[in-house]
Amino acid sequence: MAGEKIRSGPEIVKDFVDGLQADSSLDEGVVEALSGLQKEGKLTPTRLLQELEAKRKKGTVNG
Amino acid sequence: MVSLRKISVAGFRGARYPLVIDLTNSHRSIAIFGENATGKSTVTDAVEWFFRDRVEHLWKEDCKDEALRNVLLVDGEDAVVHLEFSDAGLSSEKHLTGTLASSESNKTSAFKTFKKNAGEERLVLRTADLSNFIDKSKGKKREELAEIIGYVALTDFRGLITAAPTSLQRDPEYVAAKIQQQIAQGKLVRLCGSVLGEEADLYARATKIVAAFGLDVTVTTEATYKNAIQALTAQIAKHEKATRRLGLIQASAAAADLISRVNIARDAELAFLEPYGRLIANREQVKLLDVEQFLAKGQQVLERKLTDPDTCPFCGQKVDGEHLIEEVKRRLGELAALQKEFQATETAKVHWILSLAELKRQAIALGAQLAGISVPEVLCTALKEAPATLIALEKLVGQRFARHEQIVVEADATERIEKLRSLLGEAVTSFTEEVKALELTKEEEVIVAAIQTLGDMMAAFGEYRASTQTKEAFERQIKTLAKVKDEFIKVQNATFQHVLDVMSEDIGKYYLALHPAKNENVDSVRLTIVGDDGVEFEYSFHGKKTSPPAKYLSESHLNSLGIALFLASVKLFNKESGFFVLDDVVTSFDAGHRLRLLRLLEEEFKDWQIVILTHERHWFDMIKKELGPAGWLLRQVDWSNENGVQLHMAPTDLRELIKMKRAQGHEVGNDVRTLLEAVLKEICRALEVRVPFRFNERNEERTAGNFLSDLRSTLNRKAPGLKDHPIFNQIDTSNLLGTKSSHDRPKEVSAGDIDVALEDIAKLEAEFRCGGCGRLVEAELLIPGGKKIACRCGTKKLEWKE
Repeated sequence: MAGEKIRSGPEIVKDFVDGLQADSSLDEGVVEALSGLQKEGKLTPTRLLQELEAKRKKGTVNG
Repeated sequence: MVSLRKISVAGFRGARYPLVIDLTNSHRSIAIFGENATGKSTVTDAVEWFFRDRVEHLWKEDCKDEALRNVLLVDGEDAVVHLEFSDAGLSSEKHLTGTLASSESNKTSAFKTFKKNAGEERLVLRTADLSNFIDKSKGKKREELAEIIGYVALTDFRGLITAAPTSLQRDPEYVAAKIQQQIAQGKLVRLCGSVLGEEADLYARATKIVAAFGLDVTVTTEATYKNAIQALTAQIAKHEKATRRLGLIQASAAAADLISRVNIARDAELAFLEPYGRLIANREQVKLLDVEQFLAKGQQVLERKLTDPDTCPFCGQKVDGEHLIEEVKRRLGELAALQKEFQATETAKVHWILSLAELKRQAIALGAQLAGISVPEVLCTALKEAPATLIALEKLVGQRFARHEQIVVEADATERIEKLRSLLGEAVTSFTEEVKALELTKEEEVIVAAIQTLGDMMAAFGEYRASTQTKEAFERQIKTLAKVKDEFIKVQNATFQHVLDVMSEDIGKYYLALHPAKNENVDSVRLTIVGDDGVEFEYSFHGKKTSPPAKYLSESHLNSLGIALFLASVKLFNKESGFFVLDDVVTSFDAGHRLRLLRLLEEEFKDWQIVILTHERHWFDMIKKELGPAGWLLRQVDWSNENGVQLHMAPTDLRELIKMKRAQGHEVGNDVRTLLEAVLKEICRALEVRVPFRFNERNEERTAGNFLSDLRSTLNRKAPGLKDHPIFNQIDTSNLLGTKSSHDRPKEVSAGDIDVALEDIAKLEAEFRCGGCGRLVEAELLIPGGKKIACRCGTKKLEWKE
């Protein structure tokens, strides 16, 4: 067991965010914002709030 | 992974002169013995400073860079730590000047990456660290493990998705949408007697109103809604009069509504300006507010490690990062009450700004509504000017509030708003009077009322729908983030527990290697998640699951647990550094467990490079026996007032030291004496010179005079050809010089005398050392039948009686 690979923190976050896309019960805008910022390495509180605002303004939130 | 090839320390901590630990050749690991207070931890401090730019145990005590420089260094001299690695491209020399400026010789990005990554790994374990983790709270244990594991990214992500919903809930747009929705709901209830949740409800209601007038219109869309209003309007005979009357009624209602908006805005203004003005009037409080904002921002920067944790992000000076965070937290705590008061004024400010925004929106809407009605120009102008006045006011409030400055609404702006209110009042009166003049029949009045209701219903529903959409958009995001957070916590805990399980397997194994369960009834040691944010050790004690460790375990067992955790962390998480330092870690170990630790290191860490420092002679002897055959380098450090910490020196090293000290104009009498002792010791060992028996450490207290006397006695018997060699008398004199110089009369010994003493020592050595192989002749290398002994290569020979 000790020899097995332990995933790094960023890997776990990435896999988790990627996995959110399969959950249709979640708001698409939030998932897109998290996923996009995570890929760009810009997942910070300020940027997330800005991205969520943009999603609301664009009306991309699902209903 | 990278291993150490050489550690050179000079002018750093206890090392006045170069302390060089050469780990090249086949020596991967090293054990260094030094009595208490001989400065052996200088090695550990050097490694820690090299990688982390700080030495934790010093920084904790607020002893920083100045404590790193050896006290005997003069300002012009640098403290130097030079580490060479198996990957030569990563080797670097780090200097600390007299002005406490540090610099590194290796400027490559590869080195920077290596230093950063290795610096975050488990490099050093000291006695004091052993119980640190165990003594921490469950929450702190989790935080520290997250750092060890490299799971800070998880903690950050969790913090992000926890904070985001709170920010959304406080967003002024969301707050305004909720208020607007309630207002619109109220209007709809007044107009229809119930809330119209869906468009279909609105259209059904409209269809019903129109049907009462015998019109066969089914309202299903916005277009058919307008058609229905037109159909009703067509029912009125005096069309123009009715339209104007309707327009006046609607404009009157809108103007009255706008007056109430002005009143709400004025109330909100007073509710904000009065407490804010009082708060801001106290300049000391304003300063504290500014400081509070600075500290809050600084706390974010420090906690998120956006800058070097040991450099103040404001002034760039070296600081203790952890201490700084604690201090910032403490000061923020002191300012919490003031901040709360300020936040209350901020909420009031948001309400005022929202009321101004709504006022502006309705002023624009009324301006458009009045375009079709003949109204006084002065009212139209006032309505046109209102948005600009309100925007300027919003801007002024935003700027001054951010700077904690007094806010005074300009008299001109107040006057314009008051004038608008007054004009609106006049308009309402005028509209009402005109409506009265435009008499309609009873039937027409009913139709006009119906048209007005339909118009109001449409407007209120529009407001309701827009605010509901905004509110729902926020709430969907808030709900999603909450769900994401819940899911993430599950993932975080599961992955964390998985890592803990993997670690626990090693921790349990190492702990059992140190304390076999059959002897001590402690088994199944593991780390487990406790509650939402904690981690604790769990173990089986006499077959019963138990926690925390301190409940039953002795200090020695707790230390073993600390070592087991460190070793498990090293094995699992060190990716760059293939070495680690154990500094005096067996101090409070039971004697019975020390050998087990060596066996554990030998079995589980044979591929690692280990630096062990100890002041326990018995343990060092065990290391010699257990790990010496495995190729471990075994050295001893000594300490003197003049030279600080030095490795127990071979003559070559001593000569180098003497040369360097003389070049710097330092006294070397003691060193000459030590050199003579070292040379005589080596000769005596090679020639198997018999020396009188002495107990333990007294054996190490023999002087050059003792060795010289014993050597001459042996030579008299075994090598009579040498017994009258003049060098022995000369070396006796030189020994006296060394002794004089090294004690109370250093000034009586000149540089020339020292030169002579060094020449004598070289001459003495030359009688026994081969110029070819560099080795001494040895009593055991007897040349068969030749009555001679020789060096290893056989070139240097010495007459020797069997």
